[in-house]
Amino acid sequence: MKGVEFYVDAITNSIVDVLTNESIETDVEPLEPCDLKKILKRNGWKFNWRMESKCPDRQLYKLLIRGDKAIQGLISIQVLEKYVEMYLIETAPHNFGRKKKYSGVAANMVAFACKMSFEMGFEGYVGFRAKTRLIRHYIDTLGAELLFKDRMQISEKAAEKLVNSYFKDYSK
Amino acid sequence: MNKIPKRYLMLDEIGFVGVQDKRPEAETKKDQELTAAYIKAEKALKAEKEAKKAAKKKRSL
Repeated sequence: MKGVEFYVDAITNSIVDVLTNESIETDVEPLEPCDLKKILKRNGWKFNWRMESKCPDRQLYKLLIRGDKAIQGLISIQVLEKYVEMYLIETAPHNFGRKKKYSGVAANMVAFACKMSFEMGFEGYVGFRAKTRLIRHYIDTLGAELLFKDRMQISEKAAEKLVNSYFKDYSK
Repeated sequence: MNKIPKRYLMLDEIGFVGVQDKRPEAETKKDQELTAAYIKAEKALKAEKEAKKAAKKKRSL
């Protein structure tokens, strides 16, 4: 199945500085090949993003603080015929756990996928595979639904809530 | 800026979404086709419900 072509230059949204509780404006930009040199397991990243970048039809994006080049989070998605498939999301190592610098990165990227789905005319539908032990967590946090096996979806209502929380004044 | 609900921030505890493995592509594709079928069925059901609701409203006018 071939993905529909689309381009995103920058999308405005935000994350929160844990120390100051200040809302920081961010942009989502396509991941560039030179970024892959920094996104390594030895630097604390969990997934193999180089391998991910080699998968055909998948589009990789990075979340940046406006005016800063440091990557705050990554997402791998593909636009399918009926919905947006979300393969991977990972927050940067410095945004993970109790000592994180910024909060809300992971959900921000999910909201980005939902917004993309709305823009493609899929009513916000996003599908993904979850680790079995995390299915309940995604139901509770994202309002996702279990479809079958480890397949989950975010449907219109949950997607709308996410997008409204992260994208100010967004209208479908 | 809109206030971000706490439950979304709970996602930070895990820090990731998805599964990265080397499953055969055919298996992934099959799952995705089934997901698309579920979504299509859900949308059809929703449209049917809305049509019924609209018809009921029209009758009551």
